[in-house]
Amino acid sequence: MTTPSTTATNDDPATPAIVDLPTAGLGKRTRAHPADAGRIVCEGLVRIYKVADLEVVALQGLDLVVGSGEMIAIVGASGSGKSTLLNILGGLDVPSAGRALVAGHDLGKLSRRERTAYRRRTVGMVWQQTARNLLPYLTALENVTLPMILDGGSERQARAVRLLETVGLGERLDHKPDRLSGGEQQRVAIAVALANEPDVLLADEPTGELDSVTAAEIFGLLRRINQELGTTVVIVTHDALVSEQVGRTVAIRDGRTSTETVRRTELADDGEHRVVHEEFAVLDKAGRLQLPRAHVEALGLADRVRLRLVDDHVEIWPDAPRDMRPPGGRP
Amino acid sequence: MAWLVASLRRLRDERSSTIALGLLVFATAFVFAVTPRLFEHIADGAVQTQLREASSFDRDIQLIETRRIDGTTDDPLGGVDQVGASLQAQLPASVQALISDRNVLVDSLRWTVAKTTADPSFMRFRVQPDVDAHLGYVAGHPPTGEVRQIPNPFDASGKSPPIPVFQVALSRTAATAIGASLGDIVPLTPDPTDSLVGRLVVEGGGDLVAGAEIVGLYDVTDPADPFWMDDAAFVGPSYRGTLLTRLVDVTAVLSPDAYPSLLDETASLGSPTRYTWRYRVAPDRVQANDTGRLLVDLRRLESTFPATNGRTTGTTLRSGLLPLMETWTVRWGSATTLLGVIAVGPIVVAIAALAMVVLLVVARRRPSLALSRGRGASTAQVVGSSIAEGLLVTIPAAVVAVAASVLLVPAGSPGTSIVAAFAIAFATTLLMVLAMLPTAVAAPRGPGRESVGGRRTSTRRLILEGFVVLLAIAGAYLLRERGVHSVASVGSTPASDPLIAAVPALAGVAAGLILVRLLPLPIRFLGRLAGRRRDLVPVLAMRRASGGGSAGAVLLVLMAATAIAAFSLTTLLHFDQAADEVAWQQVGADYHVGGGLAVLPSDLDPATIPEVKASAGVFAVRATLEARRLPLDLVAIDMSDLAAVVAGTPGDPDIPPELLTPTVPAGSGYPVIVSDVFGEGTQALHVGDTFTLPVEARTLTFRIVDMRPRYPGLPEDVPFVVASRDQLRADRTDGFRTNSAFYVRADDSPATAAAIRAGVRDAAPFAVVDSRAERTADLRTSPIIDAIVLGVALAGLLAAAYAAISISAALALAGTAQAVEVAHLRTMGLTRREAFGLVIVEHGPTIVIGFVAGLVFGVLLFGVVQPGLGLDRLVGSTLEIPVSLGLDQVAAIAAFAIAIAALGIGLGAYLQRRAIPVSAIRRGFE
Repeated sequence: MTTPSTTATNDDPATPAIVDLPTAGLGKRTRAHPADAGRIVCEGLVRIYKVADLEVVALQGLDLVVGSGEMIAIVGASGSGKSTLLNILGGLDVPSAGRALVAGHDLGKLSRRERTAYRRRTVGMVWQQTARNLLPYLTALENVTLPMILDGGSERQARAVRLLETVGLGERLDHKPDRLSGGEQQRVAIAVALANEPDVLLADEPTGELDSVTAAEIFGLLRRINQELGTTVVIVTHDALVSEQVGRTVAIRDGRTSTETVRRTELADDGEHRVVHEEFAVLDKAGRLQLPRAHVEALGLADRVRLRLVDDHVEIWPDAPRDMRPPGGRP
Repeated sequence: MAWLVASLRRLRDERSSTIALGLLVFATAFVFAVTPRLFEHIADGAVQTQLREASSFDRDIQLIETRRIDGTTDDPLGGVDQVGASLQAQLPASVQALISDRNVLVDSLRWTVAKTTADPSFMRFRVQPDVDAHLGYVAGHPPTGEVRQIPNPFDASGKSPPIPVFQVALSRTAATAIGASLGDIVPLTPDPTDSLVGRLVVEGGGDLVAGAEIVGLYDVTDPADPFWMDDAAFVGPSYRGTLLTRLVDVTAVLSPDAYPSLLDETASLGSPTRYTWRYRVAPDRVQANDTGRLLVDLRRLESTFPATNGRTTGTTLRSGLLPLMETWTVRWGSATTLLGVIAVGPIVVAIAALAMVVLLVVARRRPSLALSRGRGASTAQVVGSSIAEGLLVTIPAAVVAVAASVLLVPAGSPGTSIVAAFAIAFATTLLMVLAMLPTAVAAPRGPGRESVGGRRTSTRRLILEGFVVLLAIAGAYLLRERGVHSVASVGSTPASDPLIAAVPALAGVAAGLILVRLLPLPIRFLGRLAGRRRDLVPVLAMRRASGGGSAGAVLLVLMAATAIAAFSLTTLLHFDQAADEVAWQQVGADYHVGGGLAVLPSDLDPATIPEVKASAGVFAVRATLEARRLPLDLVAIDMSDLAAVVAGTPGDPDIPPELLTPTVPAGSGYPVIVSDVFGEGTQALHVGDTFTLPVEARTLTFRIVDMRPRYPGLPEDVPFVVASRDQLRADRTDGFRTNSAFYVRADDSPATAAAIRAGVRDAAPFAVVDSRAERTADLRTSPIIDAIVLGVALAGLLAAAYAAISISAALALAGTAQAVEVAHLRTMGLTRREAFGLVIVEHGPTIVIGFVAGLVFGVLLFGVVQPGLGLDRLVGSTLEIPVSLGLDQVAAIAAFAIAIAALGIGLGAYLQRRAIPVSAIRRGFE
């Protein structure tokens, strides 16, 4: 459940436009995918790591729903748990508690063999470090073919060539990663992630090491994948370019989803299309929500707040009168 | 299959590490493959050398029959040869295979020289084919087969039948000994004390008389010629003796053509003739691998042909080949056991090195493996690709190693080499799989998601380590008490128990575990000391060292290598000291002149030889302690002269003062030193007790003043009674005058030894001159000792090489993080020199601790297990040698340890060459 809090429009001239790659169409999927194949549901997801004698709670009951075919960005400060979430969704990690459903797979209940199959067929992953997305001793073509070999698929070579052409690297088939630029490596990584037609594509800061132009190209490719193949795309990012271009941005704070920003295009009175941002605070099952920090600091909210139900909304008031509130909101 | 092909493409990309691993596997497989071949080759050489150096009497086989075999004029010895061939055919196959040729001696009965001679003299005729080719006639000619008859010189009446006169040849010294000259006819009568005569029944009464016409005088061209088989009968006279008289025996050359006449002329006596067929054993035909079968056949031979025991019927065997082979087998078995124990150390270090390098190779591949798992590779696929990769690298290396070992050392079958080489290949592949298994089995975490933080040692691991330590202590106790030989080997060829032989390696592991646990203590102490300084380098270095990292691995490997070096060097030193002390024990002085229990000529006095500084005479006689039926040697020594011979040398027997007085109070018994065996059993004697011995028809009373396990110059396995000849002579002026041996003092140069031998040979050609220096050299340089030295040297070299590889791999494994740290420090201004200093100071304490611990452990381990290693079999004595290590040996081991550490650290630093700051920092963020 979300609560609208703010709206904004995308009218920042400094943000470069997403560039669509002049490539061939991505084509259609060859495998049948149910309508909700790419749906992601996380309920009360918890992940606890033990590091030496310390227990680190990376996720503290995270709730998230991503519709099939949706493209969202996940943002958050360092250590907020976003990469942990992505690893769980990618089948690389197992939640300590809670539930994570991806394309109908309950990730907490998969056997080892089922998890391996899940990683092969259901998700594709793209990581931040460009060089580490690819096996250094294989060419671009061989890297893309590898997941198909693991899955035992047929017509591997042809499909791999098609994928690489799609991402604009048709002339780099025999190049090893050390002969590719960062952007080219990421494009190969995307092709690798798409090799077995996954329902979900997960990208962990895919543009983190790239310049803005290249980052824009990569994002454009991801958007095309989402639009043309209907693949659900989840991008963890710090990049404002990316987070401000997707339909929904989910912010994670302290291991939970705190806010969501939804963007939509609406027709203004003057006939111009404009992008409207709406920010929502996320309400969990227990009815808890995280107020945006800016709001908290602006009103000096601390410890307790007053609530008042007024017709169709809830008002939140500071506990103490304005003139009695200490600076910074602390007693 | 496609997955395998894709994963194996990694080899194409990582050529350097693949080649390095392949080379290491090749080198290790080669060492493991060639070592058994090398030692098989050495074993062949050792057994052949041992046989070659043994006397012909010991090495060759003699079959003896006492009977009459007819001969014809045309082919006098044809029948004898046939019997010899027939007997040879009865030898077991493995023994027959060793025989290179055969000859025969035909000995007549012993004749008494029936004329006046200086000493009672006796003559035996001997027919030996081809003997003339080995004699140098100085007068006359070789005898022919002509036998003429002359009147009996003892019967003036002429009624007795004529006597046969045989043509003979004598050596010049033999002729002189019996007072004969060229052309003399020596009258002979059968010696009734000869076993061949004892059953004579003389028909018609009277003694048979024969004559020996001396037609030729000769010198033996080369007494050492193998033709003689160490039989000096033709060289000159030999002597027998009693307390009062000396008897002279000479052997006369009789022509084979005279053999039929000899049979005819002695037919009336019914006297048999002694036939000795000599079968020469060719040492080059003996193979170490066949000694087991040979021993079985030799024992069977002894049951087929019993040894000479005074009987004169049937075929008897005379050969020292069985005890020679048994001794060699025992000694070689002990040598291989010792080498097996020493070899376990380098094997463990080699496997540790392989493991370290494999870890290094796998560590570099772990990100790729993790990525493959993240992309959906199953555990089985990852494990399968590792196995395929491992076999692809290691099998060709093993094949090449086997081929190289077979080409280099052709000895023996390649089976063992193949097994050894492929064992290394499979072991390396297994190590690769095990190293990679955690990544293959664990849930993939994606790139850059390595587990962080330290791990505490679990209780389970502590319990396991404690168990290993206890096991090692128990094993060391068993090894010391029971020895390294298996129970099944008691009474037969010793075979080592592999479990017991592995105890030193287990003890090393246990010591290493304890050391690794204790290492942080001195490091922390040094860290605190370093913290008081203002210098950055020692502080940082100690902080890095106390943080763990590669220190434990470096310490273990260095300690192992140093311990191997210390153990090996202590072993060699032990042999060196043992050779010297055993030689003194066996010879008793600088030289020992003796003829066994035969009496030496009265005119032999070594003191007259210019090179001799002092000598002491010895009289020895066999006796029996009747109360216990204990055979022993009674040895009477000129104690007054002995002090001059052995004073100040290790051969000084520390004579009790009671033996040094010129006379003995009447009735108190002659003071003697006796064997420890006197104090054993139900009728044990003790110091102060008296006993009597019947010696040459006299009963002498002796009083025990000392009991010892051994006495210098006397055999260790024969009980002895050592008395003062001066005291015995004081009471018995007519006895103990002949000499059985002499202890001689002189310098140990080869020229002196040759001069002494020449001087002794003139008077007593059959005497044996034993040089203590030569005995020491023999013990030090025997093929078996050479093999041990080679094995020890190889073990040390291998341990050093593999230790260096292990250390460099361990440093490289820990290197990436350290390289980043150093790179960061260098961006802050740390110089290259200081960075190098960091490495030195960080590893310095570990090197010192590893060296000291290894040295102490190696020497201690030798001291603890040495009684169980069977080293006494190798040196041929149970003499206890103290364990010691000199300062120069310690320095050598220190240099060895430093060289290993330097090489390892240098290699590791080279592998860590990412310390270019920018590159290292950039990579550190990956």
